[in-house]
Amino acid sequence: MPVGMSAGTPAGAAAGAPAGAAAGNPLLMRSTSRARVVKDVAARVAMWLAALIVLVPVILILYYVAAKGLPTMDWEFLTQPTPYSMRLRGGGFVNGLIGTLLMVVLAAVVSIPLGLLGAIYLVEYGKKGLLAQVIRFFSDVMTGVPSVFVGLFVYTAMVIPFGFGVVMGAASLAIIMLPIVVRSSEEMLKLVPRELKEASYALGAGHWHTISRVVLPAAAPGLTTGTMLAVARAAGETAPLLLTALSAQEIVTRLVGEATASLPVLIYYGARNPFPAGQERAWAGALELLLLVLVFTLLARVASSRNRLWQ
Amino acid sequence: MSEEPAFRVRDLAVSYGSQVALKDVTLDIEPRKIIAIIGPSGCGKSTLIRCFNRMNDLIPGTRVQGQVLYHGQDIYANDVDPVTVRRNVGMVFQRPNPFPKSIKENVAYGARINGYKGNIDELVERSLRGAALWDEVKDNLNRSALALSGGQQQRLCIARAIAVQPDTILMDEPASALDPVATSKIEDLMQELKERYTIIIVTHNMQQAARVSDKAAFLYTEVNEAGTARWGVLVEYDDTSRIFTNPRDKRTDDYISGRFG
Amino acid sequence: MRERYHRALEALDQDVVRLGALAEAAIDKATLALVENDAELAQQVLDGDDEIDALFVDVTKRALTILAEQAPVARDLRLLLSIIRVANELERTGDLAHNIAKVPQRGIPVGEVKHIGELLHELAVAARKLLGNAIDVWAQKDAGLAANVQEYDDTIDLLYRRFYKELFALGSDETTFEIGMNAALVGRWFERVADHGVNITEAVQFYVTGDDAYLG
Repeated sequence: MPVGMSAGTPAGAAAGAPAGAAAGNPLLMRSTSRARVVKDVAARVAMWLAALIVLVPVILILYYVAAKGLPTMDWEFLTQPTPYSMRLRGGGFVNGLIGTLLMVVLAAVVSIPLGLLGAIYLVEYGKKGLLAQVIRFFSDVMTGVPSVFVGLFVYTAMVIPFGFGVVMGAASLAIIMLPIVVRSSEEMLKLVPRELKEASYALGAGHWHTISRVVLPAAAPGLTTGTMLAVARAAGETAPLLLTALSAQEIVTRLVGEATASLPVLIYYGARNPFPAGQERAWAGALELLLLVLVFTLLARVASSRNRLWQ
Repeated sequence: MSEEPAFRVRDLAVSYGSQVALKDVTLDIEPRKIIAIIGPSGCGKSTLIRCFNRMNDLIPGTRVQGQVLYHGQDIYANDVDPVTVRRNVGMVFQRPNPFPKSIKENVAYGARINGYKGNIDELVERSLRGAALWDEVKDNLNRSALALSGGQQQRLCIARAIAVQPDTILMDEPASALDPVATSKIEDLMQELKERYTIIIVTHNMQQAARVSDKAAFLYTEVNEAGTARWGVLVEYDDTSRIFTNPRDKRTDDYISGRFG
Repeated sequence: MRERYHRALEALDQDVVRLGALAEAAIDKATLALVENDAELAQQVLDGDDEIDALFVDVTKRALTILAEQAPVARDLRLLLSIIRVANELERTGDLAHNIAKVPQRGIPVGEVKHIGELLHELAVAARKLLGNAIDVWAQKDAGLAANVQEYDDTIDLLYRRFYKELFALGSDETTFEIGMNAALVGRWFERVADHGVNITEAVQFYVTGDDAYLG
């Protein structure tokens, strides 16, 4: 630390005020520490750099997916199923789009209410009880289980007796989504201020009234975000679908017993085959999947912000 | 004076788990009076006020002994539903805590969940007028309650409490988060409210207690010999003018004149 | 903040004792001037009154400031009210000393009239004693002692009545009339000094007990 004003009194202060006044002014003496200024600038630059480095892969991915996917992305791609041979140009991924939509929606319909109720149980009823702790523990374990294991489980439990199908794919996605929904919703519900709940109880509201009319509305934006994270994760899962829905060139007609295409699996098949036509379709499929998740998220955001009155 | 007390508290003791928070509280609260609960931090003021509407029940492990008689009925009796108690004994909290809903829905909340059959708009207007807020918000009833100022939010919380038509309102440091102007509005409002409601207020502000209340209860912290446990006791309960000019107990005198605590 | 406030209160309390000492000294000097018919000494009393007034104004202003800034309650509130009251009593006592000193200053030889002078001196000493005791009661905030002081006031009343009888016996020719009139006033003023002393002890009793019976 350079001590005193001689080390680096700012030119303005030295010129503007008499020397004695500047020396006696503790504010001026503080700001003259050059080491401090240097440290401050260095820290700021380091943080900007770190933020940029984080952004680099994201931007690169977006750029590549758009650059490589856009040429193939046309009306035909969006509306036509996959051709019989990878070598052939033309055709599209509509079979995969429909399969993904069916499976994700089905999985969401099952896992989101269940997960939400589970989270409500954890926050409002179970709290630190034994059952709640057990549920929390297994949710955490489940979040960490590789998704291919989930696929294997559903394969054994459902595919072997009933065959491949949308329901089986949805089941595996639901199993993957459930712990994410539970844990993210729990965190969001915990953020609802205790004061709001107390206000409700003090007005003579019961437990369920308080949850349904105060806690859930107040937590809605956060709950939506967490849920959408789970949906996005499910929409991009490949491994479990290979084991539960497989894939198909046609648009699916039955929910059970019929192999069903999905966007990620089609991307996977397209990307690993040697023919340029198939690879190009894979790129376009990746772009389509990306946009799909984006649309889901935006819709959910709009829906949840509609009814809220946060400033 | 001859009127039946709104509350009779007899040998009340509250503990959280194995820790005693408050004990030996016995006092009568006359209806349509303002009663201030004062004392140093941690002496159990909030614990005491939360006994009057069983808000302590919400904290797991809370045990309440003794009796709190509300118009003769022990509210801690086995067959009493705390929800019923809270519909009769409203509460306003330290920090204004309106729901993230519209002004109107905030006021209507209690009525709606209690299955109010009358005209909600009338109830909202009456309650907002009662809380001296109507003129400020009548054109914006559907705006978010969170857009109001802190003082307005607190009066909204009072309107919300009186919409349930209680006969007692508990106020846990209702003005401690407000500026002096908003504070004096709340204090004026309390004087109007006491024509119809019994008001029990916890306050850290001695001058506020002296200004607004008719009677004051001074709680103080006692410590056991080993210094390992502390709990609140009721030291003195008397007319506010008496407490602030000539308290009987030296601890009261020392505390209110700022000699400790 | 509170620490400073309580120190300010204590300082005020001490200044009231100081004001008491000034009032006592003024009465002492006025008495001596009267008995000795010493115009010079009397002039000193007249000049000294400004000091008493200045201290009184200072004490009152500081008391007002504490009232406004600290909003004292309980014991402090009673102390402050008593300080204001007692300071007032002492300022009035100073005024009485001023009045008394005016008589020798104008060269009216009240103290030289045999019987009257002796009785007046006796009355002056008794009133002065009561005032001194009252200021002790204040300094020690001793409500028990206050009762003794109040009892002693009866002795002063008796003395005052005896003094009045003697005064009537003086008769009324040209010279004795002026002396008699002034003697009556001075006697009355010493009796008032004792009354102020009694009021001071009552203020102490109010401060100590908080019983508003002592306010009257």
